Amino acid sequence: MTGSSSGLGEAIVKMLAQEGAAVVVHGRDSVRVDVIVKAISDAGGRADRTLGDLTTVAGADEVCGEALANGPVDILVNNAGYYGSRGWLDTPEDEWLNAYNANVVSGVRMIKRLVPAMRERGWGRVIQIGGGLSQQPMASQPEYNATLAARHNLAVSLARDLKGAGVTSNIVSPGCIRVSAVEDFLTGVSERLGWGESWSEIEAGACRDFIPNDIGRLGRPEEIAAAVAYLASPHADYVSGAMIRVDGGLNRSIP
Amino acid sequence: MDMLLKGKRALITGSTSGIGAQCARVLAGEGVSVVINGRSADRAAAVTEEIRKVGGEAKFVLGDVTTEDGSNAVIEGAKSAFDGIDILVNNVGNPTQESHDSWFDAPFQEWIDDYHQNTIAAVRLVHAFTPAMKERGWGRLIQVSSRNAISPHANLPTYGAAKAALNNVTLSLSKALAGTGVTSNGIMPGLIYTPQLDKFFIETAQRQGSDDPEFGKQYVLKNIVHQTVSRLGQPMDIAAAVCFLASPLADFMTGTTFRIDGGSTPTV
Repeated sequence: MTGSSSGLGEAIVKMLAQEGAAVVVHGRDSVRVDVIVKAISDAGGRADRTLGDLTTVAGADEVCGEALANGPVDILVNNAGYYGSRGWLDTPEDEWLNAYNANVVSGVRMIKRLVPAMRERGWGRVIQIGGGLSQQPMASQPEYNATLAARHNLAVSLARDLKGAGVTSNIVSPGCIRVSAVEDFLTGVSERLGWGESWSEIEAGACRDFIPNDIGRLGRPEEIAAAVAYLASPHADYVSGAMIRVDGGLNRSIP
Repeated sequence: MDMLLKGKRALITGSTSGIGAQCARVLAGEGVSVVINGRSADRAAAVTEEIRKVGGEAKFVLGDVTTEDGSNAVIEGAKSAFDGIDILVNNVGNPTQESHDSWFDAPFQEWIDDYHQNTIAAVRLVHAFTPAMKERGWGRLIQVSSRNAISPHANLPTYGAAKAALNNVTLSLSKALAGTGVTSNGIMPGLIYTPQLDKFFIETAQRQGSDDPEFGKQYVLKNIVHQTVSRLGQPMDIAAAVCFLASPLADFMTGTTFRIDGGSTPTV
């Protein structure tokens, strides 16, 4: 699980560990990764760690080497990535390229290094964490939105390539989920727009003005993790090339 | 995994066999009290007994939900079976006719009949069960659609169109239910094996000079459905997804429909 020392990745890796999977926690911050590994082990799960930057070949080689050290990888969850924050015309062209490398090619590096062995063993899972912005993009962070569309697309092309292999490729597409980066962002917006100071006021304001959805709140990281756990399990053997939206109805058209 | 479903009550339409029956078994296994529905008393009783034998809670209500009278009978029976319904699985819905040789062979009446069976029947049940779910602040409306809704076969045009309408209903319903605790979602099965398909496999085999349904099945897998998964779907594939959507773990999912079709829809 790439990018699993915080946020969605943390919730996913904890839930899979709870279901008995041996997990490899990945991040770039050693202290944060160790906190997650320890939490999982303390709860009786099995967790290994790997550190590295997936935006380079050397980084990806190192991460996959460490990941494979204690056994084969059956399930790859491509979660790592970053979001931008600027307006459409204010986003420098270099950022479009950097975002593509960090959000798309990083996942490709992992797929290329880990999927052939899944194919050999005749069973595997590749799950992209995509996003609703792939299909319903905001005007801001346009480079990030486009990388999500690429993630969705490559999940389906990979599914085609994996025909007959026993390895499936799918997407979980989150809406707006309450992770600390989002909390910080919305708290900042609240200060500007005057939604209030308590989290429930901030969430209510966000759902009214920013992310109107049918559930009326932000999603919880565990709600993304549950969809990942479903796709990762043998119960989803017949699911490939599919996209599961977990967004409270934020995206307003049929998927 | 604890699906957090203990004590919920579900109606699964068309659950005396196939996908519906498997949905009922899986939900019952998670502690859901299930109402089995179909038109055959023998089959309904058999599935109900099977579930009870392994410690599940099940009752059955006979009736054809594609007719107004049948639907009313099922609604009344299902409501009283366990004193309410929390989870409605709109599973009834098949093509009303076998596939045609050509799109243009489907008569106008078939367009109407398929819409009734695959769309209106579900809408009627939604009307009946949603108010009480809203009052209780929690509920599930789960529509079993089809990949034909989004990647239709030319010779099953009426069925695919009706399922496409059902997907649209799934989404509009989630808007209508905003903030109520009731969610609306759907799944799109691909080709799911049930014994009803054997006739189709034998016919396919015969057209290739064989009598063996297994030959026909392999021929279909190789030449007719273009999957990336090597096997046909099975009812359990659908039942597991229905169980997931029904669960409180899926509280944040609404308005969406996803594919369980072995990769047979080739688009993003």
